[in-house]
Amino acid sequence: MRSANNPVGSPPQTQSIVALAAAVCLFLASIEYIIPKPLPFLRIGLANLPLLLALDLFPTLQFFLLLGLKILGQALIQGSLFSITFLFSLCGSLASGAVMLAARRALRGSTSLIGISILGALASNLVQLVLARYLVFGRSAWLIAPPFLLVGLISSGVLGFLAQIYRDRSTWLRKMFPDMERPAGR
Amino acid sequence: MPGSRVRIKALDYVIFFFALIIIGLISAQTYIGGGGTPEIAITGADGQWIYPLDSEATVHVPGPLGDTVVAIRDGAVEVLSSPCREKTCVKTGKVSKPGQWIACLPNKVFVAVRGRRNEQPDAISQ
Repeated sequence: MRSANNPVGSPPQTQSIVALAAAVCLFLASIEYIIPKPLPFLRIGLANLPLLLALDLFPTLQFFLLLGLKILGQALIQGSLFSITFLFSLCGSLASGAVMLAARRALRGSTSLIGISILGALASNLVQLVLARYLVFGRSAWLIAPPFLLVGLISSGVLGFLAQIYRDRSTWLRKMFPDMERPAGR
Repeated sequence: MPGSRVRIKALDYVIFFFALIIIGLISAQTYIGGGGTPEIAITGADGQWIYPLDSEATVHVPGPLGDTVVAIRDGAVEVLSSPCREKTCVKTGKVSKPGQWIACLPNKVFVAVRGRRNEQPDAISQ
């Protein structure tokens, strides 16, 4: 993708990294989709793994580009692009992306990706619950809040743990981002 | 540091407990009333009936001694008649506030006003 016109104003390498990360999101979304779920709100959020890693490695614009591609890819996989589910996914993902990025920048180094992931899931789930409250179920939406949030807490903790392991151990990541260990990133 | 174990930092625990507290607060709010139409749960020896407080209904609740008649009207619930000896449940009169209850131990009937209507949603969108 070394085209002359450069829509996101970043070096070609970063662009192809965004595309690659988005492809991984798409792949993980399909993995998640084929895992049977006992209840519709019990989900793992696998597709957020690349986003967690991108927090430190991508500039803000590229991070949100990846976020948008993830939302779109996930909707395509789930077939929910033109349903109300898409609105939930869109708002939840945007909230979680913004919260995670803000938290990562503010708390840089003093949390692992586990804490960041938990904050992101909490933001996403709260936003979705508020949407459910006002758009779909009315007040009874809060009835599903406790299990929904609790599952989100656990799965996001596990996901953050996996992301942190990958971040610590991946030699590929180090090859692609040689200066990733430098404390003051972008 | 490749190969090293994941270090969970102090702030991770803080965030975890922060999330847990928020979930706890929402759960408490959900399960201990706070808004919504209150509902009436009538528990008999062999089943439970749930009505919104603003409904109109007369329920015959079968118990070991016979039928206890529970009436819901004008935003309150009362036991109209009971086959038990003491009639404590009838004497309790009307109750209407979440947390209030009427019980008839001999006939195993329990009437309680709860904070929220217990509609089960079909699903939540992801």
